[in-house]
Amino acid sequence: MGWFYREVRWGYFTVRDVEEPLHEVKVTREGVVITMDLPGVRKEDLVISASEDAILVEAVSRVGGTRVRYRKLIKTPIPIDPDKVVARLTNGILQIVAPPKEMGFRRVKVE
Amino acid sequence: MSVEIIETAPEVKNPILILAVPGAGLVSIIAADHLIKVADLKEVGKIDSPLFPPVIGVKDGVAMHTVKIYGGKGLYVVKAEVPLPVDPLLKLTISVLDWVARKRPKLAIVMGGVPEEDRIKVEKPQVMAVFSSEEAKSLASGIGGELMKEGYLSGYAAFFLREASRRGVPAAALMVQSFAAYPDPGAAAEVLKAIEPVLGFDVDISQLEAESETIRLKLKELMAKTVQTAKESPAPMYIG
Repeated sequence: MGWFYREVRWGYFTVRDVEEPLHEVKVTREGVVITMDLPGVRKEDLVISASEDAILVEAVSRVGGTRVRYRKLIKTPIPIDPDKVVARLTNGILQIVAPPKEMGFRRVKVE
Repeated sequence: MSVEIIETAPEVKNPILILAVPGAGLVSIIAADHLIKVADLKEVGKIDSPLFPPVIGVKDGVAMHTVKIYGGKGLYVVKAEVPLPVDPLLKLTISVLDWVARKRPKLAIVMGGVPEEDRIKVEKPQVMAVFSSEEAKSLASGIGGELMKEGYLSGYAAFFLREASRRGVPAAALMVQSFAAYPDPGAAAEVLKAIEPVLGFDVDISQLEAESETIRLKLKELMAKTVQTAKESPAPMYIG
């Protein structure tokens, strides 16, 4: 019956201060690829921060008279190099490519 | 448990039927909404079933059905406003095809998105057309899109074509490259361009393009719910 309660809670007219954007996370050869639907967001209204295991996206969208704030913290499935993260915004679709952190193997001394 | 179709207006004879259900990129929902708007189609019926999820639309405090029939200009558009799990979706499709078969339709059309990994790089999504029979192909010869020459089509569109064929209803499936999990008005515009020649009236898509961002914002919740329903589905192969 779980689905029943989930359905009745759901509504199109939910009002939230901060919206979670639609997004997808994939691991490819290039690293972690995140896409996000941010309709109405311009480059200047978008802030992306990266660490070795997470990416934070914050944005403000203005569509007609509607103003929406987006915020999403994505924990990356693999460690990434925050200095090499690149992002591109095309028609309100954000694509972030985060190359994997280089794994350096060191010889372990056996005692 | 059955699906009940209630008509509230005189029937359209020999109609073209368009069945729009939430799927990849919400392509058919966006296209149907736009068609209803530009052709000024009126609500002419509703569809209900105990099988449908317990969700209702609400307008001015009054409960509304979530599967509605719009009609006018020789056309019926049946639109599901909520994502349906596989079983109710298939039963709805069968009931709608049985219902329209009695009206001797010119053509039944289903539209859908084909998730394209690099959709972000595709400026003009390609439309692919598949017909239920040679007769349907010749009846809808003006339809746009590239004819699928050979191969396999699976999912909801395949089910729709097969069931239409079993009932002798000429049918077409128009599939367009789209985002999987984001509403895709650009893909919907391409599908509308493709079906315009068989509709018999002009479909101005400029407004659809101009309001693209508003549509994406408005349909965010439905898109999220559609993705969730597809994931929970016991037979995802049927979700188009």
